[in-house]
Amino acid sequence: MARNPNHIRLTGAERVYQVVIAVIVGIVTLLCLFPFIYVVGMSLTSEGELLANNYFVIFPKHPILRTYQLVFEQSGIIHSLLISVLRTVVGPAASLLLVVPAGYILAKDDMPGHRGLVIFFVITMILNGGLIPGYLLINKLHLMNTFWVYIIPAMGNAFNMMIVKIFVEGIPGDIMESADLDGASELQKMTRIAVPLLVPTICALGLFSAVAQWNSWFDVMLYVHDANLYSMSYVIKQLMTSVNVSDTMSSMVNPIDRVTPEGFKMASVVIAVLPILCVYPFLQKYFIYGVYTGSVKG
Amino acid sequence: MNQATAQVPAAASAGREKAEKKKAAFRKYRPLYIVIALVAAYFIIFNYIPIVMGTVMSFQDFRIGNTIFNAPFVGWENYERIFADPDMIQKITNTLILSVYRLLWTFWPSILLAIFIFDLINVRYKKICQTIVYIPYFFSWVIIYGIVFAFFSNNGFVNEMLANLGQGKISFLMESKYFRSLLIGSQIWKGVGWGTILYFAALTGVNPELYEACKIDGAGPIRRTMTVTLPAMMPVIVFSLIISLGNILNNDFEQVLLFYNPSVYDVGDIIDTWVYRVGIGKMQYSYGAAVGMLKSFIGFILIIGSNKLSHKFAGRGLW
Repeated sequence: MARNPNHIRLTGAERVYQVVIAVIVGIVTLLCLFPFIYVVGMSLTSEGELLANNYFVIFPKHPILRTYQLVFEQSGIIHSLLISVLRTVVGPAASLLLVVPAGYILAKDDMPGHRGLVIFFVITMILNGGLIPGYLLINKLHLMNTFWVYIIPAMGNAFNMMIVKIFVEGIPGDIMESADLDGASELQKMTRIAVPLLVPTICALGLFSAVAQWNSWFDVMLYVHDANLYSMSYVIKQLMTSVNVSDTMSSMVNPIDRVTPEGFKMASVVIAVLPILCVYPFLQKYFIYGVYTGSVKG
Repeated sequence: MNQATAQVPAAASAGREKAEKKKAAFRKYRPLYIVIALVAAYFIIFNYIPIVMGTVMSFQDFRIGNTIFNAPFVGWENYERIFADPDMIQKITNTLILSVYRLLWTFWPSILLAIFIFDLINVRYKKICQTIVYIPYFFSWVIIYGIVFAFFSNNGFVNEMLANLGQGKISFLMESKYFRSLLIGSQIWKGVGWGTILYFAALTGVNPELYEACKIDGAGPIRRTMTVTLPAMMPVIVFSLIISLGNILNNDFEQVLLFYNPSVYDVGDIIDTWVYRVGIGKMQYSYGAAVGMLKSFIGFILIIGSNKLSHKFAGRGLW
């Protein structure tokens, strides 16, 4: 950090302060980490071990993987994983296909009608019809019980359009002018010049929309009744909130291998989280870039 | 006289030139107009039509099978019902209380954490902590409900700990008095780390000379925070506070929907969950739409107002 040289020789107060904040930040970090560790531990703990330890186990000594086996044996979980992957890929792509050109066009302030267009889109950011008209509309459009109900209603996002607009406005004017001299059409200027310059922004917007798609369960509950279209978040939501999940083979299985209902639920939580944890470290910088762009320029 | 006749053609040609220019711009941007027209059509269908539908329906007695063109009009009846219904007043109160709590409890932890992390000297430690505290933001409410369940259910971490200490168990998830704390607590857990990024963005812009000056003046960490760090963060703090004020009617609907159950409806049932459960579930479309439109309209005014405030006090707004 640029400020490091200021701190090479620490005064007494500064040293105390450093220790205090290091401890506080460490505690917050542990508070963020520990629940997840505990959930993983619970998912690996058998009924026998829980009983033997007065129901209080953090790191199981005899971890069992049968919980995970049972979750995967639930009908439809593998299929729902496919649906989730599909919507996580198609959703952001479709959304960017609409948002990027629209944001680019809104940045053209010499276009007749420009101001009216901007207002038209900004209004959708602050006024909405609410749940019921939206529900009736989806019904009327025959999007109920189709895969497209996950994709189409989530495509248009005026907020993301405004972010693209701000970035296009930030492209130096002479780059665009030299393209004009080369005789590039407006569409070519967008695809050949603006889009390559906007890659980090597009990545950030795409990633946020991908996370939203991966995590989404309410649209499934509201619009989809065909179990073949359930996404994994929704299946896991059902497992989480159902009361009687139990080890189907329980009477035949030794307690040391027997799965508890809680363990079963926690295993499904771990399965839902794992993909996020796997990709997050590689994509962190784009996510942070996304917030910076939304805040510094917004 | 001579002058006047000379001016008329000049003005006319200037007007013609302007029209000509506009025409040229239209021609130049024709492909872009086609694209934006398609996008606008999308927004008309998915954003404007629901607004119109919601408004019209809220003045009708809309039943299943009706369209907004053939449902009978009932005037302000649905809106009058809202204010005559003590149950509805309770949902509105619940929504507001929850929002105020959220506003009070979620804005300052991120500010403190941002200052502390920013001041850490050990870069490696700082990076590791940052990476970890950001993660919960990416968990869906389903996952967070799972974690809350693991800790606060009857066989959860907290209750087993209480039991091992010889204390009685508490059913945190089923009692109204714990419900708001659970909601707000899990919101803090999810968002505290991620919320710091906004403030880092502001802090990276601080002139390092200011910190140099602090050192020369012999200012300790507390004075440095008060005189340099906090003032640098102030515009962002004011901005995000004002904007959350504008969003005060919007709770995390999905979170409440997952966390609540009939035994905590007295504090947990908010406008959105009611609209979902009764408006859609029991097909009270018109009454539900009226509640939705009222909320949307008040929200609209709040956001416009807070945006004005934000321009005044933070020097910028949402638009």
